Amino acid sequence: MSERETQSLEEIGAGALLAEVDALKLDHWRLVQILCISSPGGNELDYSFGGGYAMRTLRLRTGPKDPVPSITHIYPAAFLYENEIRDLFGVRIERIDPDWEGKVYDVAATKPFSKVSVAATSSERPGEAR
Amino acid sequence: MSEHKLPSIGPTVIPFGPQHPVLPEPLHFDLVLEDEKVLDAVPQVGYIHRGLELLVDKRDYLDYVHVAERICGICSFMHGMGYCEAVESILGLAVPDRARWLRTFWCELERAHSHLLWLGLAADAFGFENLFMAAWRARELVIDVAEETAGGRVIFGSALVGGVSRDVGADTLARCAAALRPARDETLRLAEVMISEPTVRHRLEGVGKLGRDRAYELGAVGPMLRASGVDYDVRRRGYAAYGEIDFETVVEEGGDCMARALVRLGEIEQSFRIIEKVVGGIPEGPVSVPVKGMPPKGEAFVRLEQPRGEVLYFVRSNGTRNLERFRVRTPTFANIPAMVEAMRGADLADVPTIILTIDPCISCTER
Amino acid sequence: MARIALRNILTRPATRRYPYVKREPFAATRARLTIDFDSCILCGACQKHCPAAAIAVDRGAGLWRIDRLACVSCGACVRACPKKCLALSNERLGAVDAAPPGPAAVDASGRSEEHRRAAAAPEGSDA
Repeated sequence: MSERETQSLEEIGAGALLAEVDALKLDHWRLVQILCISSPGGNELDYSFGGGYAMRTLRLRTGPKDPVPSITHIYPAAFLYENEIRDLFGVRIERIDPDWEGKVYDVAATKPFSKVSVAATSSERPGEAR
Repeated sequence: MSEHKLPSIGPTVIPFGPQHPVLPEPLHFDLVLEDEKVLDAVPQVGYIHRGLELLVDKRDYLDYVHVAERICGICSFMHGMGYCEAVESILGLAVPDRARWLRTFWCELERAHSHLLWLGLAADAFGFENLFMAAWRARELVIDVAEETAGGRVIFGSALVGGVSRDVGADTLARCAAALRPARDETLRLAEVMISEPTVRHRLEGVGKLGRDRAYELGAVGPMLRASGVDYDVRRRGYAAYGEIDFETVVEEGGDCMARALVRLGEIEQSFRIIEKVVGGIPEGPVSVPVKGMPPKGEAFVRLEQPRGEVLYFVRSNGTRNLERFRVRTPTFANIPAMVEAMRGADLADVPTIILTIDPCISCTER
Repeated sequence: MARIALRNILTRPATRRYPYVKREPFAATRARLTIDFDSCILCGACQKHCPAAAIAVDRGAGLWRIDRLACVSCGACVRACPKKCLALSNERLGAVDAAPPGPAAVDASGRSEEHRRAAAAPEGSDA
């Protein structure tokens, strides 16, 4: 069975996140990873869960300032991912437990991985392209 | 008679790391102790963050494999291979059979050398330096084979989008398989020492116990999970040539450090067996297909079984020469919560053993 | 005890007696980048593909320079070169030890190695 066949991806809204994650926890899925992709218009969070060898990914699109609820009260292991995403991408994840308050990586820039543009419309990506 | 009671001062917090003789890579803990027992451990990572994921903006998607390989030294080939598999999935490229088998060969070589490295470090963590030196001496035979076939002792440099970068002749493969037999014999001898020596058993048995449900809930992967009784090995998905080779996954029920040691020792032996099967059954043919031009838009999730556990790669392409996003979720990242849980209730002297029992690779964790 | 001592005296050491006995490198080892500068057309493909940004090519000045300590011996340039004039040899010379033979210039630290093409002007130019 190829990798693609064991995976599924669905887009959800921020309001549905906790309910979906709860349902997965009750069904004994484990947390595989949380991923953030930054683009000038906003951020995209992918939550991947594994059950057996299958993998389900929930995709959440957020605007630059939208708050996202933490899932650490359902999956305690999520704290590492959420702290990292908040520090590197500036996504407003709320009520992470434990909260490392910006000290995951000791980097000189705030939100170094964020590509969200300050202007409302899309703009040049920061950093030089080769 | 009145007793003088010292005022209660509560638990003590002592720092562990980032510099510590047993740590292979910098990792910090604030250990909350009551007498000698650890009540809680607060991990802190971030000492070797290099921001490698951002380099996709500056490196052509075909050249980036060399950066991906250098995320970590001990898991290097599989990082390169995982990146290549993800890009090949977007390109819709089928890698030639011989390349798939050679990738399996190098994957298992990497698993063997990584576990032997772990064996040495774990023995060093509880003070058994002779076993450390003997394990690394056996490891020299394995990485000599890597250097002869791939060109690099630790960074193999042979993963390439479209296949592998160099072919290995049949006589070289046979010679390498023969050269690995003394390594296998030595590993079995060292495994015997680990399992039967009373002092080693005293240090490992019952330490850092993690139950089956708890390990699964905390997202543990790899030997950490398999030592708690969960049979989950991503190689069963059949990537590279694993679908065509018969192998066993090593599962133990104990959930303590000794069980994890047994899982890894069993995996070294399995790796040598798989290498023999690869050498015996590898098909002829080309070892790469040419890749040119821009990648199409698309994304891919790929999972592999690194020596430390399940690793996940995500690649998204926007149609230009630079990828839009590359993400690695490494097994140590997933194992850190399980390690912290295993530390609760342990003695201070067992903390190094528990840290080494997840085989931490902090360069992978922090990229 | 005496038996162990006798055995230790009579057996050879387990380690190689370096520097009297050196370890021979394997043929496939990727160590040092070498260039056949006469075939080089200064196209800059090696510079474009180097993940470590170790190579600098200046077509106008006829210059090809490598930063030896930045090079990670990955082989991307070897594959990218259209004239196949780059190769990875298996010799691990120290960056500061031995200057390569030929007209290449190596700076005082041994880190930077330059090959320069004489200009095609009639009076020639100094390298």
